[in-house]
Amino acid sequence: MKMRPGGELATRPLEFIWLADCSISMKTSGKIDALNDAIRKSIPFMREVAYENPNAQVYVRAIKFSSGAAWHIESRTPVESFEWSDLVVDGVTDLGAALLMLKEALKVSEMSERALPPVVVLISDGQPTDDYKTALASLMEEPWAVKAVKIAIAIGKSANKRILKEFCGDNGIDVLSADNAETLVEYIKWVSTVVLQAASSPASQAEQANTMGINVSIPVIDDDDDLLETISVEDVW
Amino acid sequence: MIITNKNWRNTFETVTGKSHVKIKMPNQDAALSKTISDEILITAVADGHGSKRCFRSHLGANYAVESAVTILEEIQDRLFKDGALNLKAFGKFYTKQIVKLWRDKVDADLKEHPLEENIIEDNDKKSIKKNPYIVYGSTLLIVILVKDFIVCYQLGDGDILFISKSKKVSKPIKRDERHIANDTSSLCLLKPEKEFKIKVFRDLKHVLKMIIISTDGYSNSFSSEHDFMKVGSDLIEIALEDGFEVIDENLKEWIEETSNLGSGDDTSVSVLMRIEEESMA
Amino acid sequence: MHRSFKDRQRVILKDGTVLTIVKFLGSGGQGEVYEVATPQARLALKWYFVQTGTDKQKNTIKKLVSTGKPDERYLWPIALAEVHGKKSFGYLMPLRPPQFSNIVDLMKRRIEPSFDAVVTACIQLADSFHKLHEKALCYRDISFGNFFFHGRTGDILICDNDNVTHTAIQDAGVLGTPRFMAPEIVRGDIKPNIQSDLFSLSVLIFYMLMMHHPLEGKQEASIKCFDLPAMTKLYGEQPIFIFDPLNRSNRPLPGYHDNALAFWPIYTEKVRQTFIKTFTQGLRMPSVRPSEKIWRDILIDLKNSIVVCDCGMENFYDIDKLKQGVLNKCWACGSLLKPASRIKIENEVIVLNMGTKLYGHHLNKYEKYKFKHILAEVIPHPIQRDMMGLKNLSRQTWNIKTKTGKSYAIDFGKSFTIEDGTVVDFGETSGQIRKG
Repeated sequence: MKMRPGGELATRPLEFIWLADCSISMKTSGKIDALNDAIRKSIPFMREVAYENPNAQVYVRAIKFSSGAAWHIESRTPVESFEWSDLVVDGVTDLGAALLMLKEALKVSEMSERALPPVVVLISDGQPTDDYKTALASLMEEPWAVKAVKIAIAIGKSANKRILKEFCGDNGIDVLSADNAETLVEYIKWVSTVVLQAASSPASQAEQANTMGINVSIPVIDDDDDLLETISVEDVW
Repeated sequence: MIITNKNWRNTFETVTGKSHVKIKMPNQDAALSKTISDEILITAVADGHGSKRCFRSHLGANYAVESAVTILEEIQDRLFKDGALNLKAFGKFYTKQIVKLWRDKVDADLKEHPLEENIIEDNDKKSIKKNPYIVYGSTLLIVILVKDFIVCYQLGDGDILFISKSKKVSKPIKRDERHIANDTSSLCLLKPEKEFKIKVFRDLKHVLKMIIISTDGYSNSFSSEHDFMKVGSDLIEIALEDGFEVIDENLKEWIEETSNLGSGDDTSVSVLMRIEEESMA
Repeated sequence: MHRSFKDRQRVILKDGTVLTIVKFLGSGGQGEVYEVATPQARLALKWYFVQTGTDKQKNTIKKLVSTGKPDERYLWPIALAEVHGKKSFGYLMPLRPPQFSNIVDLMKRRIEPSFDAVVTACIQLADSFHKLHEKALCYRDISFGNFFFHGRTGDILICDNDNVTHTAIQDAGVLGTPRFMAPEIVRGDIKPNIQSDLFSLSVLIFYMLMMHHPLEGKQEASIKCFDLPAMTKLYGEQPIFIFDPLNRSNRPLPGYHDNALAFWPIYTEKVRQTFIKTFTQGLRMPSVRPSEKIWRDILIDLKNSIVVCDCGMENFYDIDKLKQGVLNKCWACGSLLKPASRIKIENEVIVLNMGTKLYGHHLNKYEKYKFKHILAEVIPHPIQRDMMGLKNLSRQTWNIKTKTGKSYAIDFGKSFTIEDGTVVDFGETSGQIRKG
C-alpha cells in the first residue's frame, strides 16, 4: 500500500544495440555458437545492472549482417523481457549495410527526446565486403551516433581490427580481441555490464582516468593474472 | 618400465595407431618421464598433429617431451625459494624456455634436412613459408610432482585425470569446449607459452592417489566421457589389488587394444601412483 | 565466467584464518563480494579486481581496520584479507542482514515505507555522518549503492566503506558519483573533503524525502543526451536549484519531474528553507552548507511533527503555519489537517498519533538518537479505543498532574490518558500536553 505520493525516480531510456556478423565464416570453429551462447549468458547480468540503476531504463535491439543487413531483434525490448534467438550464418560481411541500418535507428526522429548515451557493440570475424567507409561517414553525421558508446569485438585472427577501430572512433578503448569462447563470453559480459553501468550512471572515477573527450568514463578490462594460484586438490572433486 | 622417486611410481607407453601402421607413418605421439630428484618427478605426453601439412610432427612431439624434461632439469634449483615452492618459476618462466628449446631443436633439424618443396601441398606453401614450425606442430601435456604439489600443464587437447584414494575420478583441467580461432593450441603457434593452461594443486592430506595423462587418441577411443573416466577407477582398482607392476606390464597391450577398437589413432598414456608411507607395525 | 573464487572453495588467508566461500554475492566497479564462512561466523569478503587492488587501497583498508567503525550503522572492514599466490587482496566485513533493502529499491518503489521510516532513516544518515566526521574521516564516495534501509523501522546500514580516508589525505583515488558530487568537485576545483561530503549528504536526504534530484528541472529536461559532459554542466558548471526562489529557470516540469512537485509542499517550511539554503548559497559557498547536526535536529523535528490524517495517511504538522492560524491540507484526501494532540518538552513539540514513540533524545538529553531505546508509546485507551494514552516504557516513574489538579504516579508498563493541559514529569525533563 502506498503511504506516500508520487512514483518511481524519473528515468531515461538507454538503447543497447548488438551489431552481429553472421557471415559464413562465423560457422567455422563454432564462432557463431560461441557468440549466441555468450549473448544469451550475458542477459541475466545485464538485467542485474539495470535492476540496480534507478536512473536508466534499458532497451535492447540487434542488427545482423552478412549479405546485406537486417534487424535480428527489431523492437526496442525492455531488458527485463529480452530473450535471445540464435543467429544463423549465411553470406558475406556487409558491414556498410549494417552501419546504414544503425544510422536509421539512431536518427534524431527515431530516438527518444531525452535519453542516455546509446551503447553499440559490433562483433565481427572478418573483412567487410562492401563500402563500409562511406556508410561509416554517413552514420557519423547523426548526433546520436557521435554520442553513442561504440565498442568492437574481433573474433579470431582474420578479423580486420583496423576497420573495427575506425567504427569505435577515438574513445580510448582498443578493439577487444577474442580468440576463444571463454574470452568472448568475458568480453560480452563486460560490455553488457560494466559499459552499460558506465553509460547509465557514471560511477566513482579514479583520478587518473582521462574523461575529457570521452562521453562515458570506461574502466579498463582485467589483465591476465600472471601469478599462479595454488588450489587445494580436494576441490577438484 | 617403472620410473620412481620417493613418493611416486610412474609407467608410460606410446603406441602407433592402427591407421598409421597401415600407411607406414611413424608414431606421431611421444611420451617421456624422468626422476629429477627425490622430490621432483616429471612426466609428459605430446601429440603431433599428423596431418599432411604437419608431416614432421612425429619429430615435433618428441622434441616437445624432451624439452619439457630437459628444461625442468636445468631450472630445478629455481623451483624453491627459502624452502617454499617458487610459483613464479612454474609459469611462463618454464614454458617460455620449453618453447625456445623446442624451436632450437626444430631449427637444427631444418638446417640438416631442409623441407622438400614437392611434398608440400600448394595451398600450404604460403603459410609454411611464413611459419615452418607448423610442419612440426604438436600438443604437450606435462605433470610435475614436487613435494606436496602437483603442477599440470596443458597445451592443446589431451586429458589429465585425477583419481582419489576413494577411487573418485575428476578432470583438473576442463577441456576447452570451443577453441574458435584455431584448430587447437600448439607449439607451432606464435606465442604458445601464453596458451598453456597451468594449474597448481596442493595435496597436504595425500588425497590424490593416481594421475593419468593421455593424448586424445585415448579418450577418442571411448564412446563417452563417462566411459573414458571409468578407466581411472578401473586402473586404480587393479593397482590397489594386484600392485602397480601389473599396470606396468600390461599398459601397452591395453592401450593398443583400446586404440584398435576405437579411434585407431596414436595414443600415449602415462600413469602415476602415489607410494604409501610405510606405517609402523 | 571468471570469478576470483569458486563456491565451496577453501581459502587460507595469510594471517591464518580459514574461510570457505559460501557464494558469490555480486560485483561492483571495484571488486567482487562473496559470502564466506569461518569456523566462528558468516561474513562478507570483498575482493578487489587486479587494477583496483592498489597499494594505496591496501593502506586505506589497514587504517580503517585499526581505526574501527564510527558507529553501529557502518558495515566496516574487520580485517585485511590476503592469500598466498594471489596478486590482489580484499577485506572481511559483516554480512548485511536480509531485511535491509538497497536505496535503489526505495527509488524504484519496490518497497513502500512510511514517511516515519524514511525520516527516521534520514536522521540516522545525518547522525552517522556526524560520527564519521568527528573522527576526521571523510566518506568520499556516496551513491545509492552504499546505503541500506530497513523498510519498516527506518534503520540504516552504511556499506562500501573502503573509500573512507582521513580528511588530510589529499590524494584518495576516488571522486564520487557525479549526481552526488558537490559542484566544486564536479568541476575539479578541489579534492573531496568534509564539506563536499555534506553536500552529498544533503543530496541523499533530498532523494530520500523528495524521490528526485535537487538540480534536475527544466534544464535537465532540455538535455537530449545525458552523458558525462552534460552531467558536468548540470551538476558542476551551471547548477540551479529547482526551487530557487530567485531563479525560476530550472523549475520542475510536470510530466518529467512529478515527484518533486508532489513532495515539496508536504514537508514543513523549516525543511524547505534548509534545502533552499543548501542548494542556493550552499552551491557556491561550501561553508554555509548546513552541518550534519543541523540536519539531524531539523529531521528530528520533522519526525516529531508527523500527524496522521483521519484518512490514515501521514502528513506533517507545520507549527509555523499553525501560528499563522492555518494548517495544511492532507496530501492524500485533501481535507484540512486537524490540530493534533501534542506534547511540548522543553523546546520540542512532538505530535502524538496512535503509535508515536518517545525516544531517549526526547526525554533524556544524555541519550541521543538511539531509536532502539523506546521510552514511551502512544496506545489506545483499553476501553475507549479512540482515546489515546501514553504508556511508560522507561525505568523512571512519571509524575502526572492534570489540568483539574489531580496528581498520580505512573510506573513502567502503566499509561495515562492524553488530555489537554496535563503536565508530565519524566524525571530528567517534563512535558505538557496540548490538544486542539
